[in-house]
Amino acid sequence: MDFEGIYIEYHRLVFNLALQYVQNIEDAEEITQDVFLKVYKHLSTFKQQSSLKTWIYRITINQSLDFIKSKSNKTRRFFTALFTDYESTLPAEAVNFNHPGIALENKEAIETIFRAINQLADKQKTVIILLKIEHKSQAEAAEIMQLNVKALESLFQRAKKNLEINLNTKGNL
Amino acid sequence: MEDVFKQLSAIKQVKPSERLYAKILLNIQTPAVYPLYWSIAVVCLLLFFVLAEWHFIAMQSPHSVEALSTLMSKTNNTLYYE
Repeated sequence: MDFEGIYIEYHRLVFNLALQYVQNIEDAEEITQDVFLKVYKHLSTFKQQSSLKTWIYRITINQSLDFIKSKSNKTRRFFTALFTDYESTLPAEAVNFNHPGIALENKEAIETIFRAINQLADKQKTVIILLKIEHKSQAEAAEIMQLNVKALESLFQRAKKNLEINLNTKGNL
Repeated sequence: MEDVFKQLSAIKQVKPSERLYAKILLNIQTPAVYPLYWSIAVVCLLLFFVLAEWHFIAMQSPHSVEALSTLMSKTNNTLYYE
């Protein structure tokens, strides 16, 4: 399959997956561009150990998570970033919410849910997105995340528990 | 939680902009440029070295200038006939 064929086949998948991470059309388009640039650059070296679809899923997930990190990093001072622990000081990201896939009447409720999802750790966020928004089976999600099904199940249970905690936190209700 | 997941599963798939492919092709054709952030960092580093060098030269004691003048003895360049 040539590059154009890959784009036609997978651009909606990439864009929608990125959209679930950033909840913003402009950012999702930027991520989609970066993903296809990576696909273009590395297509010749792609070892078919996994399917092309799984490979593109992984690139999109990593690119989305990197995008979120770099976006929150821009607000931090250079030297502060050098000498402090990134994970411990990272604030919950304020997102310019602009998700076209959500019906207007559900917008407020889903925005609250996404705010709680955005506070989860990267892997927990990914498992919720893959299983509950992208409707992947446990086996498919496990392959994308390079985990076994048992590990994925336990990751999902932790994610579910933390999501519930985040939703019940004062700021989210 | 089931209600939360039910709401999430109702999110519809959407189509990206038609111009996105053209943008990607344009990005492929244009060579990568270094981000402004890194360019500024490199310029600042160079400036720091130049200023540090200038500072050390300016801080040199006048003795070193004297020592230089004793080494280079003044020559009498006046032309005369014997």
